[in-house]
Amino acid sequence: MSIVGIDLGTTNSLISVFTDDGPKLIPNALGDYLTPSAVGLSDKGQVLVGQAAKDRLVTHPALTQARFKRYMGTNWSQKLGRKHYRAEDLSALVLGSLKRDAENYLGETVERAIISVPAYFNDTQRKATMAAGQIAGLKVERLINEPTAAALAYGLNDKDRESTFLVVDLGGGTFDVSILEMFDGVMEVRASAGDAFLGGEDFTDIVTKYFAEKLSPKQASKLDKMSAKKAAMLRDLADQAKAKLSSEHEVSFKFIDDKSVEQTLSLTRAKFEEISEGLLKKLRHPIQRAVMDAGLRAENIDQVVLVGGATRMPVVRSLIARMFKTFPVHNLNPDHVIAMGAAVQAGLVSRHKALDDVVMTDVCPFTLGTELSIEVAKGHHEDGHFQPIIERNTVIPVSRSVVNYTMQKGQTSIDLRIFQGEAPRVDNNVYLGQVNIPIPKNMKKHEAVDIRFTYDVSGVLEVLVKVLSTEKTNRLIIEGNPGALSKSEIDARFKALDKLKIHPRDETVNAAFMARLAKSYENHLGDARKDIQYLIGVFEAALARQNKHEISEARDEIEPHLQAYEDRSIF
Amino acid sequence: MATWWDILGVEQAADLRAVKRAYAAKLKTIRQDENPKEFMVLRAAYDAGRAAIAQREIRCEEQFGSQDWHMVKVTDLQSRDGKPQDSIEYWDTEPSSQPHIPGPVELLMDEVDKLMKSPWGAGSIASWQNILDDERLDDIDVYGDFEHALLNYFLNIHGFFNDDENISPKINLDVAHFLFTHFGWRQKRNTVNIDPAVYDWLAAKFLQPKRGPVYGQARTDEGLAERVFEAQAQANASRGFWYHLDVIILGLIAAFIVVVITLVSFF
Repeated sequence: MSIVGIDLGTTNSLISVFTDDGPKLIPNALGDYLTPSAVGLSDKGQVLVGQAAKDRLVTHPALTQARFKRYMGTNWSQKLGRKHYRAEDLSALVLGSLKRDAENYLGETVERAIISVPAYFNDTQRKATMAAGQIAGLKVERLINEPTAAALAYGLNDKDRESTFLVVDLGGGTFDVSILEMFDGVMEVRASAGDAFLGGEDFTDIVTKYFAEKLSPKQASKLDKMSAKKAAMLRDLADQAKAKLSSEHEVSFKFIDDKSVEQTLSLTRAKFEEISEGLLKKLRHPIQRAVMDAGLRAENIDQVVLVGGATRMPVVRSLIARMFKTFPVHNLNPDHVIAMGAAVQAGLVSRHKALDDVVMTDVCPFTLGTELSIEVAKGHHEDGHFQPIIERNTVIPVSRSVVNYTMQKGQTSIDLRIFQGEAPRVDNNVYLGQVNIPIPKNMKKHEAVDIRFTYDVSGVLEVLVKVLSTEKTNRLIIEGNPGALSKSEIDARFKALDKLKIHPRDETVNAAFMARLAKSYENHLGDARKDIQYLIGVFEAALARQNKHEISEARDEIEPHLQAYEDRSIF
Repeated sequence: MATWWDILGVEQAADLRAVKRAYAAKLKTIRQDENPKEFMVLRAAYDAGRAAIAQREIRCEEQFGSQDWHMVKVTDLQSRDGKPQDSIEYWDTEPSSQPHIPGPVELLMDEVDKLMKSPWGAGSIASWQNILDDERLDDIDVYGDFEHALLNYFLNIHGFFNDDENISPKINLDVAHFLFTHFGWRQKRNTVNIDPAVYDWLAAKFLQPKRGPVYGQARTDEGLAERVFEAQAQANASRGFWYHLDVIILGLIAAFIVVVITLVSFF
């Protein structure tokens, strides 16, 4: 039974497997490797995943959801139809769809998976990803950091060379930077840094905002006042415009505004660069930190590798070139490389023969520690200080401990708050959870506790606290974090999702085609709209006859017309 | 207890290449997920080996001079004349007969100096952010040199080089926190170019709210806590009599009451 590799992205997701010929991507029902991370309900209440759902964002915004990876590990939930869904549920539906694609391709059931996560995902987000896998009926063997996965895919090509390289991974919603050293078949992550809330979608957002302001210069917040359909349509077009700017110097498109007037909007590369300046500034810092932490200079880095679809943007490439005075490498498809690496990791975990002489070690990219009270004057304590226990860029798996004392004699419990981050004060760090440790009452002296943090190969944290006087050890589950699901909640969600009706896989192509037609209808007026209406009628008639051959013929017939209309709206 | 060279199975005098090769060979026989403890032991040995080799190189540099000006160690700067330095010291460069054209790092450090000398500027996070956003820092090497120059600047004016305990930081706590968070100085022990003691010293100097004894903070590993503790223990010792004024006054009052009671009962 194979272990699959999954790249669960903000914008797109992929699934892959390690074969005797190396890593292989698995196509979905539409024949594509990229499945958009979008989930929606069809008109019949069936769950739609992928391209069809992505296109229905424009026509059915209330029944569709995308970009939910950003809410992993939070209490966010969204209503689709009658039910509320958390980010874990929606991710589980995407994972389920990928799982079915793999089962169809491999001809066997798939139960074990490696899922990639942004290196800068915190403990709660990692646990949420694990939970999503479980809800989808997958045993998550291991999580792998996305830039590390990318490096595995790149490194496998010349594993015998000794080199140092920097991976810049700008995905749809997250940004990671990792520095890797390769020697004697060992791929070692030296340093990682990142931003869990910065990605290609943010660039799309600023372009959308720019267009919204252009549509009505007087109302800066026009986007909020637009109907959900129009806002989704504008964002969809802005996204296409942004992508097109990677190859063109200027891009224009037609947009039908709220008053049903056709407007032409355009954007030049120079203007795009200007409005994205703030985001580009944010990109610099994680790169600087990773390079400084590894103690390197530009000349020590043999290659700069670009990963993630958003690195196709020329503004990003020129920033990297400016920083390192070298042109970055992108030999492998930036959208595919993480999934390929996840497959390599699957091969490593299942001890595939081809990977006998390859080992990979990763690091914990951020500092983990606890809150500490310091007595600043006699009897006066100041809390909120951060005590690092596992410092950033420590090789994992790792286990470290500190001994702390109670603040008062006779104290009967300690409220231990756990944080992640680089700030000296906890309020500027990320709160991960809290544990309460009972302490035997001791009026004579301060009781001591040994706090041990263990960080496993998947980057999941475990906290052990030992009261030294009683030798009593507690394995502690971090509680009080509203973003984390408990075991029983995961089981309940697995059962709930199992009951949902999933849109049949062999009809996915038709659902996606219909969604495309409907989207094009929305963005045209007059005769063009009438014409698309006619095409929809033709396709619906073919569907009603339920003859597979006829339906496929109808699709082939309509395709060139539909393509022509899509090309007309963006140029 | 086994030494790092025993664990790796190399000579104590082995070079970096040999250490890496031995580590790689041993690593391939261990499953990190199944035997994390065994891995941690091997990794600790590898880290210790690399650190020892780095130390060896520093000693070589100290004896025979630094070959790479980027690798100037803080200890080199420290060993200069014990007098306080008024001017900012940048990295060593070759003396040249040509007129000196200031590089981007020097220009940025001039801005830092101006900021520190203006009565309001050093207290404003926005003005520091402005410097950190500067386009000249786009170049990753300029950024690296700037970070080191800034560290040296703070070490210089805050008495690291002349052991002056009494110089208090010229920037306020908020700015100190901002800079420490930006550069991640507090947790920067896993880097190779600079002695971790430098970061510890800076943290102790810049981030402590007030002086006082430290409870609830005893660490098993060497580090900041001990240093802070020592520094504060010394501070307490030097305060001596007056620090415990409250106890003394209470004692005097108690003694007075006892005397009064004794007198009253006597009559």
